[in-house]
Amino acid sequence: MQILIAGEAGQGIAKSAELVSRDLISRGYYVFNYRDYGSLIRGGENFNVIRVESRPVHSNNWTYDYALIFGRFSAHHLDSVARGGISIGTLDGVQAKLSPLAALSKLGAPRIVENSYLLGALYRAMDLPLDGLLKQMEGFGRHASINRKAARLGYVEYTGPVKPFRLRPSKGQRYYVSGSQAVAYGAASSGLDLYIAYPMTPATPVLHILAALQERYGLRAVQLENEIGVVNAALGASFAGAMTMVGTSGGGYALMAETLSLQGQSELPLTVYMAMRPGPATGVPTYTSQGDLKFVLNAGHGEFSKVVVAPGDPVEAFELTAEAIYFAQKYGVLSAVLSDKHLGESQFTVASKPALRVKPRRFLARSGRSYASYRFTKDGVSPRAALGDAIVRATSYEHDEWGYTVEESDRVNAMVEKRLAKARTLEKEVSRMDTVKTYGRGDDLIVSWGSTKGAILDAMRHLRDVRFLQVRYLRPFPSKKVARHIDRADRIVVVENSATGQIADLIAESTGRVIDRKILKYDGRPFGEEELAKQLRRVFK
Amino acid sequence: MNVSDLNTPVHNTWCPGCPNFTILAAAKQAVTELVNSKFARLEDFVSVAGIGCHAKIYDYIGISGFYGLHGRAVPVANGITLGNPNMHVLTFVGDGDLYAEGISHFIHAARMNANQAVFVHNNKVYALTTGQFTPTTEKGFKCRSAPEGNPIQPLNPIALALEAGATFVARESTLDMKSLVRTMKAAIKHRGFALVDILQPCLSFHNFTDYVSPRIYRLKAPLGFDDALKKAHEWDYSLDPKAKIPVGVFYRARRRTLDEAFGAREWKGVRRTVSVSGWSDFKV
Repeated sequence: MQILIAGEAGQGIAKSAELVSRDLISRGYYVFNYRDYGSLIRGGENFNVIRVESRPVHSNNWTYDYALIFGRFSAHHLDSVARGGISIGTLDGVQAKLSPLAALSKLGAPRIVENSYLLGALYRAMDLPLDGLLKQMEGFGRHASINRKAARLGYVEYTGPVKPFRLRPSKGQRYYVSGSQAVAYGAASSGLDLYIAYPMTPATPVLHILAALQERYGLRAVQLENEIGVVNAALGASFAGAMTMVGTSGGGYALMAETLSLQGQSELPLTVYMAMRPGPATGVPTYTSQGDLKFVLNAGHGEFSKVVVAPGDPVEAFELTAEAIYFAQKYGVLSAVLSDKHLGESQFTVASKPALRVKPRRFLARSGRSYASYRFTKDGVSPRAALGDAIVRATSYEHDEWGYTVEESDRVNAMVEKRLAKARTLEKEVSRMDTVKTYGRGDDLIVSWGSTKGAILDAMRHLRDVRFLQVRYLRPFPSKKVARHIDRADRIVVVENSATGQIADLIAESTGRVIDRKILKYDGRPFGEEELAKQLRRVFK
Repeated sequence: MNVSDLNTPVHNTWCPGCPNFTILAAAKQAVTELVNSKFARLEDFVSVAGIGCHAKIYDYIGISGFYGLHGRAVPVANGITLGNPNMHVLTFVGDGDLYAEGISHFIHAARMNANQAVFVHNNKVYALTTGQFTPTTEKGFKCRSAPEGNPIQPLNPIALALEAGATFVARESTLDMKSLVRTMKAAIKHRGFALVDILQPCLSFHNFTDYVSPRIYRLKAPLGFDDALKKAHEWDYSLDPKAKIPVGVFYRARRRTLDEAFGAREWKGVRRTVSVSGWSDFKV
């Protein structure tokens, strides 16, 4: 069951969708809320698609049972109203054309509460009691009263078609959360000290959320002059003993690339939240993509190890952010939490809490005055002392145990090999994590990673004998596990929100297994359930 | 503590007689005096260097150090102050490093008043890459990248630092080590963004000693902002034969620092509990 709310940017579309979603969840339904907006503040369209089901749901479709359409730019949705669906709003062509402004002038209400009037009408059309929606308006504070009046008026004045809302609710604790919220809370809950960033869609929400959590978690969110300034400051802060994370999208990650390489040489802990959007260049900045996979795996000149995790839902976003911070701190590596606009800005209903498999901490060694910051050890991990506790060094040059510059061949070899030993130790511990997950049973195999998880799980309801392999760690790559699943499978398909299906190349490079079948989408929009099911059926027919 | 306690085992590869030795000696002297006067412990100092001849100082001075990337020393230093505001950061940079590659960081760090003492080894040339013009090289300077002479006029970093909001702005030269030590100490002790532009002739690629030496005169006391700016404009880093070159502290003020503005702490001492309890915020 799907509800569309579409209108002009600035008319409160996202807020309206949130009120409806929260009310429906508290009535016992599962809601997935997709948010679509352009690169603008005013003068264009925003819309939300609210998918409502009795069972867990992680994606949406592109046809609507109820369509609330207002504003000047949203007439194109009229073709997407489902058969038997209801369209209401202020546009010509909807089944129930309303005049909220005339009605509101009777109340003396400002134009901005137009959406509340229309939500009232929508509730009448859905034959749902208004009380829950009115309760959700509590958060409006001093504006609650006028919005409630408008909603009530919209409800009683509505005389259009009514289609009762027929879904069976269920009991149980529910959480309503976006991927951005989960990453931010995962970081704060891991004991993060500093989040440093420069605003860039779609990573910015994490900066906003952590800024709001500063006092409660005793952390600081710091906005600096540009991404190069951000990531260099992060390494400086890390050197000083702070648990530090930065956040950006593809363009910002490109600017950071030189310093990511410095991370590799200096071995200072660094975690990056990297939220993808379609490129190249500015691309389609407020939409979604998985096209930066290879870039993130390879960014930074020279050879050095990194950890790249890719959550597929908010619970995983929380857990994998904590794991990324843990590995960065323990091994002095770069760890990237690879997300995208779809995971970051969609809102999900989940029934469970995250569970942490690791305990992030600073992993700092106490020491005397002089300290070998790059001490040779069997496992390649040099115990790290923080600035202020000892004379410590961090460097972009190749170096000896003390951090002094070296160029002689045997000394260069010694330090390169120390880092290789560290990479092996890291790989061993990572292999004990849930680097992959599988869902369903069957001979045919879907391979994917990241935010496509939701649509794949939903689409699998339409298919039989299909297994889904979700790759959660992209570095170090779980080659053995992936190869085992591929070798057991009959037909195999890669699903990716990109134009080339990059994970197929990664699998070929890491396992020697070639996957030819790919289902790809690269218009900046996420896969819908039915759309993906149709394509999977074609591949597995 | 003696100055020699700051020696390191690393073989020095600066050219014989290079004025970088003067800056190194002055920095060691300044740190030694500050430790001996109980201003701070030795562990409380850290050097941050960019890339270039200047940056080798990281290997030659026995305090904590961060050998960064070309142009990026200042933002690393910003981060150190955010990660532990109790550190005293000595940021060593070159003129190409700070005024070309890293100029945006320079302007913003001054504006944000990030607490660091920035020592610019200003030899008005890229030396480690064998002698190209930098943003402070005079117009007409002949080099292999500009055989007909540098076609671009120089930048005035003193005026820029003042306009950008630096709270300690000074110029010194390697011709007067005693004054250099005094100004370095003052810059380190200053809480806020301190710029010390150190004129440092390059014996291999750009020796401007004969131009600078007779034109230098010392400023008496720090000036008000407008007077400081006027003094800054007395010399535009050209080879104008009529110019006078003021050295010493132009300007000094107290303003909230970057770490103070963001409420940074010495995080490594902060104990944290790891818990998923925050998830209950998402309950519906």
